[in-house]
Amino acid sequence: MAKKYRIKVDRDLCIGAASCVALAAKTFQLDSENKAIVLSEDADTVEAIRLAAESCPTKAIILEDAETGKQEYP
Amino acid sequence: MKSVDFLIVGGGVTGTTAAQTIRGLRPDSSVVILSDEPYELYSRILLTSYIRGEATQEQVFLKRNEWYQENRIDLVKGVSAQKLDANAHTVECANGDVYQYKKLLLALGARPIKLNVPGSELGNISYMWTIEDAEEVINALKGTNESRRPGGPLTRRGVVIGGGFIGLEFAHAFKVKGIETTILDGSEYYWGNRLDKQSSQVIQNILEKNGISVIAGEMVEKFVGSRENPQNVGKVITKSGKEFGCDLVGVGVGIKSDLGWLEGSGIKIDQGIVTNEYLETNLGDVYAAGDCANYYDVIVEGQHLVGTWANAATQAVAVGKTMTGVKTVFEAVCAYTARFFESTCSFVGMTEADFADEVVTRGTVAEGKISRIFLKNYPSTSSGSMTRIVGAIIANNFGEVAPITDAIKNKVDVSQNRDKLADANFDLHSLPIS
Ligand SMILES: Cc1cc2nc3c(=O)[nH]c(=O)nc-3n(C[C@H](O)[C@H](O)[C@H](O)COP(=O)(O)OP(=O)(O)OC[C@H]3O[C@@H](n4cnc5c(N)ncnc54)[C@H](O)[C@@H]3O)c2cc1C
Ligand code: SF4
Repeated sequence: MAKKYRIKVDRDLCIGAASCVALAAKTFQLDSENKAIVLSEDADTVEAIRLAAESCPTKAIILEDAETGKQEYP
Repeated sequence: MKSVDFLIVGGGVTGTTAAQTIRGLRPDSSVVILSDEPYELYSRILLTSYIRGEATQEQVFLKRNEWYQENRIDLVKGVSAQKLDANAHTVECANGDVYQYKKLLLALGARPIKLNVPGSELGNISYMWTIEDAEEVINALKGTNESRRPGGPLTRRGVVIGGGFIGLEFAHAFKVKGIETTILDGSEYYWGNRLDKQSSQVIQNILEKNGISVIAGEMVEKFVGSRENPQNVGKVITKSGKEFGCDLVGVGVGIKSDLGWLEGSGIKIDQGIVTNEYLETNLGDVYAAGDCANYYDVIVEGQHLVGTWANAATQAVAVGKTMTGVKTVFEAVCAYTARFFESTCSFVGMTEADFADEVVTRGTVAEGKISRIFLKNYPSTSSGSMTRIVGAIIANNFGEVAPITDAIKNKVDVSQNRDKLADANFDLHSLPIS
């Protein structure tokens, strides 16, 4: 099976810089409080999701392996 | 001379994200980042949290040494690029090393403009751009604490020079640290170089409500050392002769890319490095992205210089693709939101006043929130001309950032709703997204 992430956003850390939204628009969206929310866990490629998470300036995006539950980022 | 496939000058978010993108697309190529900073990638955005004591140094760092190794990205730290020879495809460094590239990315970012007045070299006068700057502010905060003499004034005093984003960050951090804070701005009114008078007043009111004094129309003439510690700043004297006693100073008077070393290379420069929509410069195999790029913005149809994290990261991905042969247009609307005392000020899209044809103001000082929407007329083919929103400056009216961003991105024709835009009760979410 293709790799899949379970994606979480730490709302306390998120500042709404929105690079995640710009890099993986099918996965992330800003809500009315300007915090990122997860729309889908498999609409963008894993590479795009990974890059979006790694580009977050506050390390607010947490990626876990959907199968094993192991945290992969940060 | 070292030969590399992809050479990147600048190891900020732009250079690092581009390297990562290139590595993903070209697993076997050589990728080198030259950085004049001695560090792996860190988050400039978190520097203020670090100063306020809300983030650790470990949190501020976004990449570790192992990451570069795993991704086979050669980060050459503490090395400054000094000369570009586009014909020979070479970059020469200050330490004499020469790199020959197949493709070159300039991801030089920007640097704070330094105040050059008598006394600028005194201690406890800080800037806010690098991790060293942040350490300096932290030390200044600590130092002023420790050097407090018995019988001296109880509260420490800080002066912030410059309205604007960095000035706001300084003021917020000083205040959180219990420092009596005054902002001096050289313009006629607070943040007058970017804001209109009403939006300025909205922000100033918030600052004053939080105990910060804001004084406009005062330019720094000189800094004078303190009586107890003459090597440290003790006083700011302005051109009008006013004196502000202080224990520390934060300076935020603008940023500028350091492009002097590119002179003579033939590269086109206009404030930033000029690129097209693919982030290609006028020189073959040379690209620019991030804070240093004055790129062609396909959405507003004009050259655009942006200094935001999301813009930097997104351009980096686009340019990384283009450099590996997957030509990619950069297309995004970027926003920058400063947060201070539970309030916000956002810049969205193109906010250069001379680019717009008209500016519409929503909200009032009394309401404590104002959005200024920048409109531009575009000739369109069949249906006559259309009017589009190209940008906005949004003072403490955060809910409007998203609909305005959408309207810019979707090139919505607002000519039918033009008059309603000025009505703060008109819901911007109801603009038709065609
Ligand atoms: C305190 C602070 C708060 C901020 N807050 C926000 C925010 O809330 N939201 C937001 O969107 N943005 C924010 N920003 C702006 C954001 O950090 C920048 O837009 C982003 O870092 C730009 O990335 P960059 O890689 O293009 O440039 P930079 O991060 O400036 O990186 C460029 C690198 O290149 C190096 N370099 C330059 N010339 C040479 C040379 N000749 N040789 C070798 N190396 C060279 C520089 O030293 C630097 O390390 C903030 C910035 C600061 C300082
Ligand atoms: S990039 Fe990070 S801080 Fe920015 S919106 Fe996404 S999660 Fe939030």
